[in-house]
Amino acid sequence: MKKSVLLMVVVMLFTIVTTGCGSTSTSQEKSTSTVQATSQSTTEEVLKQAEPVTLTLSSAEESYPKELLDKVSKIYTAKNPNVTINVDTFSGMEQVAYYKTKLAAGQLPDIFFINTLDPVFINANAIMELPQEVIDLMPDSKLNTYKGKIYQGVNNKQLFGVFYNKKIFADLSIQEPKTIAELDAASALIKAKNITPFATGFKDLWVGGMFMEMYFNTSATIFNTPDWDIKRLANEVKYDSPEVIKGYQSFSDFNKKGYFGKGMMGTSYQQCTEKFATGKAAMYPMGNWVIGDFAALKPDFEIGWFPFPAFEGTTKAIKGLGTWFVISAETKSPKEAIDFYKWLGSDPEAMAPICERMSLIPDVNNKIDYKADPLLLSIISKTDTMDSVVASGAQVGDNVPPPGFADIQQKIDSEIAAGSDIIKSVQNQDVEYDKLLKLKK
Amino acid sequence: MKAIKLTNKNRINFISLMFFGPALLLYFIFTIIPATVSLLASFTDWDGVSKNFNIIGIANFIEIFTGERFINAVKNTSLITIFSVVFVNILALILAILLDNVTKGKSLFRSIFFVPQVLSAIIVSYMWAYMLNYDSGIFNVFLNGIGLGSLTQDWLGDPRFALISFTLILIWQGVGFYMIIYLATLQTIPGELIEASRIDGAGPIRQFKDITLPLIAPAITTCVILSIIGALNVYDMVIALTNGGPGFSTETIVVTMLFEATRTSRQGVASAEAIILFIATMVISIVITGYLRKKEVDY
Repeated sequence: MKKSVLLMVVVMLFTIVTTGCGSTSTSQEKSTSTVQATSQSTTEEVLKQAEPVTLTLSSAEESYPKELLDKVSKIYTAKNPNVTINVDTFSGMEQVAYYKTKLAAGQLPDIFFINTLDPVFINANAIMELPQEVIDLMPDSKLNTYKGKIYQGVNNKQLFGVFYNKKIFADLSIQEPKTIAELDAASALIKAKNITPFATGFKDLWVGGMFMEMYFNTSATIFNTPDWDIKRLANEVKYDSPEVIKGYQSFSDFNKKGYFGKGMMGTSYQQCTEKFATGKAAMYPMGNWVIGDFAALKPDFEIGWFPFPAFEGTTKAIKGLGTWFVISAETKSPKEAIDFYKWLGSDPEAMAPICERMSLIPDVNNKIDYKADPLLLSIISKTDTMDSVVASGAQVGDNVPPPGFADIQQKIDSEIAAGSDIIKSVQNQDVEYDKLLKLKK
Repeated sequence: MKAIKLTNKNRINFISLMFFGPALLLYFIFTIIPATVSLLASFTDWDGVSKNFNIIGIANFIEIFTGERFINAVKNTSLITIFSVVFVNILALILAILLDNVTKGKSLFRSIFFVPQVLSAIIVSYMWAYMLNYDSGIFNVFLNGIGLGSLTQDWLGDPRFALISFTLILIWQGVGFYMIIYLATLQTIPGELIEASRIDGAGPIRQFKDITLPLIAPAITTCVILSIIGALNVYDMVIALTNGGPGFSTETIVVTMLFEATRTSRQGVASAEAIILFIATMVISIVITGYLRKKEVDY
């Protein structure tokens, strides 16, 4: 009797342990089954009604917040009741790593947002090639061609420049700088009043890295050679070159003069935004998306904007290509996924709330009317008449830097910001770039 | 066919297998198999996702050992390990000895010192990141407040201080755990031995050197090995506190390994780094254990 009880206990334990290995349905999947559209009507129209489908829409929370994606999804499902859209957002994890994990687990969402499409997804045949009907709505998607095919839409543009505190500028009689020398002089005046001239930081590497690359580097290289990034891919130019060193040296000189504040290395994006919005820093080099954050912080001064000036010659508008979501090649509902993707990326009903919330500048064939922030409108009007260049490191498609290089570049940028030898750093950039370039080929 | 007689011994073996079988199976599935796959992947150019890959021999290992970034990571990891292991164990032992002699409030102090160990690494990291912030962190605010503003530093943002700041935080978090182990061991030392040594005229230092230290040697072995393994594999606190920065000044081996796996999609290189770390950890553990075991005594 004792032995049979013992055996029973062992079998129960074994069952419990192995049960935990089975897959469990998520609460989202559970909620899907409760909200899936069904119809009991017997009219002919209903008999022709499309089969219910469920799509998963995913993004990093800081890219497109859940409440925004839920909002636009509801608009779509109201018009397409057979479609259920589950929104999945995440934070605290890097996008590529997150979706690679999902891919490895066979759980890639139907439609997801990734800033720069890593070739590993394409090589694994995990991403759907976009059909012509999608590309026709977002013509700039052609810039995002990867080995002759287009996998990711481009439906908005970003503009990078310098937001500034108009009150501080007015009090010190500073005009919007048109050259680096004028920017230097303006910064010196601001610092003399014990105000930090620039809000920037390297706790979130991309903030300071973007400043360094897309401002100092772009101004020093790409203003004169717009296809510099493409030439680097072809090994026609190197980071260890006078113009790149000039850009980094200029940043380094500004840093030594104390224009960035001493705690820069440990300052995050949020802290930088708050520093500027609370008047502790006079200027904030950033992209147009930060306007949404300003609105939330409600600064008590008027904000202006000027394009980052040239070292010499004509200042150009520095822009980024706003990539859009991608469609999983593993989606069980390709037609519905494409329909939703088209709507999400170009229909005014979708783009208007997205552009309004994220302060995006739409770049699609459809006319998108939305309540743009007056500051954004002023930026657009200032840059409409300017020549523009794609920022350093912001190319897409075949022209994107080798996978992983952007991270290394940002780390090297932070090394330079921390005072390392610039020549050694740019040489290291070339070594790492060339090592990773072999992977791209 | 000869029937298997179910003797008592067979029954016991069968029941034993039923008990540890599931755990062994899980260990095999989630540890042995992935480790074997990782070993095999280290000889390939696999990207971690695709079905296609090429066998490239030891090319990954050559690249790792000739790459400046890995060498830098080895240097950082070694410094973190040496300093944290030495100081965490010394501090833990001192605290344990002090606590062993406390008559009132022993439980309270034990809990206080153990609290950092209970907190997750992420919480500890964010807490210290705020405390060490240059502009608003309590350390610099305090230094400014007492007129020592010239001593304020960007503790996590300056390459001169980032690594040492990180190591001190690691020591702070770990000291409570090892203190508990040392305290428990101290309490097993027979009081008669201490009494006898006192009667023989031995002072506190002689008592510690000739009685306490040899008798807690097993605990020292355990704590040293555990702290070495923990320090060699540190990752989450690095990412949360400094992300390996500024630049590469706090980048550890595990950070570079995961960068290769997730950002450059070079699973082969990442696996090679994992194998190198595993072998290094194993060798160091065996050598240190062998040395410390010789110091253990039984009175």
